[in-house]
Amino acid sequence: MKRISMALVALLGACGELSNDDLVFLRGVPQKEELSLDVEEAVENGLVGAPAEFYAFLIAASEETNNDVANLLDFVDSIGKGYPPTTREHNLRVWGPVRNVDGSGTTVRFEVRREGDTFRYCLHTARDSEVTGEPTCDDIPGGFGMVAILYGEYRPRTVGGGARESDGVATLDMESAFQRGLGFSRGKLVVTHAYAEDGDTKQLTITADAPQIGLQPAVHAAYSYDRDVDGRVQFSLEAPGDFIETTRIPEDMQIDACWREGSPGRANVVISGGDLLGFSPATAVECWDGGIARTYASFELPDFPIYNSNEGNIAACPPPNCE
Amino acid sequence: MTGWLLSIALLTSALNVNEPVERRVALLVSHPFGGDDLTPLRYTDNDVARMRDVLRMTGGFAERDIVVVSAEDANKVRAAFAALRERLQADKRPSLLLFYYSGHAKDGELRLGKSTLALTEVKRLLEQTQASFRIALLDACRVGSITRLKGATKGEPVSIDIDDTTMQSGQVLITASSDDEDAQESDEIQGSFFTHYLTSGLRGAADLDRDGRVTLSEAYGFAYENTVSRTVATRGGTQHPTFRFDMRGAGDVTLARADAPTSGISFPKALAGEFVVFDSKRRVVVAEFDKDTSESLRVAVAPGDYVVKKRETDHVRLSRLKVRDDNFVTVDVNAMEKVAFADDYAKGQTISAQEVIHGKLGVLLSAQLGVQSFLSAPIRDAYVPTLGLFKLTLDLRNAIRRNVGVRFDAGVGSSGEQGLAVTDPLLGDLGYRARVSLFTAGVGLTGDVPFTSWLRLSGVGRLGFIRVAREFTGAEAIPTQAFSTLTPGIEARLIARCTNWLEAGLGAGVHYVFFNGDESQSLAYVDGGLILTAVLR
Repeated sequence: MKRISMALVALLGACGELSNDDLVFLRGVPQKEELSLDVEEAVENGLVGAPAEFYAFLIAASEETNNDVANLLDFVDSIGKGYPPTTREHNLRVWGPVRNVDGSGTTVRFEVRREGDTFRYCLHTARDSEVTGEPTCDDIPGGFGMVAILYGEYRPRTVGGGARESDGVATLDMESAFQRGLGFSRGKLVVTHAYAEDGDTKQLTITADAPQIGLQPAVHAAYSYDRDVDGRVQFSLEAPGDFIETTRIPEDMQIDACWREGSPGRANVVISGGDLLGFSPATAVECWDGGIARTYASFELPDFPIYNSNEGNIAACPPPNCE
Repeated sequence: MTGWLLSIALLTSALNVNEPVERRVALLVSHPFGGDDLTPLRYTDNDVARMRDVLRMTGGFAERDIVVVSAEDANKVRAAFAALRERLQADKRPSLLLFYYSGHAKDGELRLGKSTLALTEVKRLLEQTQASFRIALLDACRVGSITRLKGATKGEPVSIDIDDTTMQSGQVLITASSDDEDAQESDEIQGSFFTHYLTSGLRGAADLDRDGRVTLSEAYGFAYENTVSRTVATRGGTQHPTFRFDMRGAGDVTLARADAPTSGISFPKALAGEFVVFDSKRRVVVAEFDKDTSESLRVAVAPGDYVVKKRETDHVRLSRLKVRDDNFVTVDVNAMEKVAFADDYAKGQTISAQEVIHGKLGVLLSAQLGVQSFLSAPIRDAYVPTLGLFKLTLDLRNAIRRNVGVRFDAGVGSSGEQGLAVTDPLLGDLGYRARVSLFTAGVGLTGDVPFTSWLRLSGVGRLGFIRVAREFTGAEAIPTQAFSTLTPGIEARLIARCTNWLEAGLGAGVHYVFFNGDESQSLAYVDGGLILTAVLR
């Protein structure tokens, strides 16, 4: 009887890929908008002749990070949507290992695992010839010849009215893949993120590390981005930057900026090290209007006051922290 | 018999002219059912079709003046008489009314389904039309299957009182059988013997004097002699048509003009024998007669493909003819092919033993427009919404046995673009939108339950195949998802026959689906809609 039942099931069994759970697991990784540093483009017609300079520095740094995040999440998306899952279990979906993806000679495996209210995900990759087995999300930073280039935890939730919130941490280890000759960009990002659709709030803490490349020293940068329910953004960035161009040795820059979208903003800047090594840190204040045109700029170099400058009207600046 | 034939022939008539100057109207009535106590008849519609064709071709009846009432009750017949009366009263010309009936009769009444129409009322209705000349042809049969079902017994006779003395002048009443006989249907000719020979005669075969006219008495005489000779050996017994007339002030009526039609088949003077003219397309015998070498003979037939068959003692001779407009094709006996009885391809009317068991094979092509919907609301909301469905089906009725056939179907459906309720407790509504399409095909065994001659219930047990595809739209570039499976199911259709070639109805079905997309579950979907059917055969 059991055989007959099994035969009947086999005969009538559907074949195909019609699955809503697949769609759910595809959303078990953070979306790009949850990990992006949102900054507005600067304009060229500033009151004092230039766009907000330090704000422009924030834009450039943010775009670099955003691009790395977007490229990797797009790649994950292309795997999840381009191939049917190879493992379908109640709390698990695995795509791959997919060999020779797009003819690149690269093997990719993507896993999303559901553990309570947390999705764990990981994307492993390797050259086809180096794959010796099938790693899982327990094999971080890698195993079986494969290296994890993306892994993390994602905790989405739905609050009243259907609004979504999420938090988690994502590691984008492009550097490990690059070291294996897999053609990704350099560096490693660790992104701690929290996002609430209702109120459009977002908190991101990002550390970015890149190794020394030629004459360029190793880079360590730290981002702290916080957009509150009033739309106020406080963005702190610690990163090297060659602001004092006496030599090509970059200085350490600490930029603490704040703004509201479409409203004036300001940045308080401390510059130390580099060409200022052994001297007092330089400080700067920059303000801009709703169109991101600079309205005020001051620069103080205590040990060389001759370079001090002050342009524009500080009365147009929002208060510190834009409160 | 010759006595009264002669007396009719000697009568002169204002109606007996070369061209029918009078208005000719006909009411043709058929009904296969005569109540619960009588076996349904099979060929009443065929009888009416034969009569209609011949009246139009040779009888001088305009198409608009031939009224057909098929499978309707007595009130519809009364209403038809009333309409004809108004039509004739508006016309000052002399008029001829022909009333023809093919169906059951019993106890002095025509049986029209569950209603009845007394013969006395028929005569009164005829008289009330005030037509100058009235002809009633009653081909009433009570036990239509008696000639074909082995062991059938002869029942009570059809009781039609032709000795009624209330007949008025200018009125003729012809019945297919005497009052102690059954009129009989034949599977071989797919109609009643009497109507078959009467229409054969009106096509020209009854033009005994070869003057180009078939008079009422000629037509009756031809039908009488052939009906008697053909039924003498049937289980129903010899059938004797009767002729009751009172044509005071009138003479024999030219009922058909063999020289009026523009198309037909000519049989040369030298050709003699027993002939059958077979319509190849409709697969019916349109004329059957004996011919001697005294005169040539023209038989009127509509343009089309025909086979002329000449019966010999140990074989048949067949000749295929194509009759075109304005063309009489002459039969060339030298061109007829010699065929063994077993290879007679023109015996479409000869019912085979298989067909007695199985019924006549019918081929029907149907189009169904409707919807398809899963019974499970969560499935409809999240996986496959209700779809518009278009289906084509090919039915082979009676292919297995009588009322048991085979159906093949194929259909497509689409939902149009709409949102899918793909939700998750953590992620909420994921907002996917998709266009869902469906393809289905299947084969099934059908069973027909006829309620009346025009209404039947058709059920089918079906094994189908279904493929559902979801094409995602909007911002999410999800590749199209699809699944396929086999779906056993049952369907039912309520079908009404509108014409001989067109049916319409409603259909619905329920089908099982074993769905293992995310979790294994047994589902059911229903489909249904409006059906239009072309009867191909």
